[in-house]
Amino acid sequence: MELLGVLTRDIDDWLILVAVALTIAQSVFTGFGNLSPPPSLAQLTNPHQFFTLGTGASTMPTYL
Amino acid sequence: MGMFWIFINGIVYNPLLALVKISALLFLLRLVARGTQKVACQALIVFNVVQLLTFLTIALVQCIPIEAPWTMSRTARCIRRDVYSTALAVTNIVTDILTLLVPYCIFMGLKMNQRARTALLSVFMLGIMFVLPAPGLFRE
Repeated sequence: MELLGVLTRDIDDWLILVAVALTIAQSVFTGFGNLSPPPSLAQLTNPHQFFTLGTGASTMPTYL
Repeated sequence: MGMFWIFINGIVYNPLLALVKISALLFLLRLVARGTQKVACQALIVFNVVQLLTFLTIALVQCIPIEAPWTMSRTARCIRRDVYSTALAVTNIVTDILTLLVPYCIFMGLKMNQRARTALLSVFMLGIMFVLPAPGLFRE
């Protein structure tokens, strides 16, 4: 019970730590998503194609 | 594989928005002793927890079968993404505004000099820079 009290006393600090960890994880997942499949130079330099990174739009135009 | 990471990204993104607000509200809950403000804080915390669980569940089972978002199966049954995105954006904007109002109400009710109050409010209301353009960005 005492341990529960200690843990819940600073619960707002713990939650913000979890949120920061999730934010970092989200940035990494976004990176994975945008780099899979690896983009071509044309995709990186063309603004219209840049936003299709990771969606597979270049390989599956009919789906999107 | 790109779509798989975008799916995971969606699952992680929604809870973190709610967690930040819940954390801020729990902190503010320790500051308030008065009845109405305390109840408002608690109600907002409960609403945020419900929102977190609801949108997390929807994000997880947005398609049947679950793997359809990244396998791009044409036979899968999925929710309407536009409705989901609109509901998520609207509830987030509303809870953002309500969460911002809590410190405003708390500090306006405190007896302190105007300069200290302005300084405190300007720190706690910084989030308004994120909330104000949100409806405009969402419309685009």
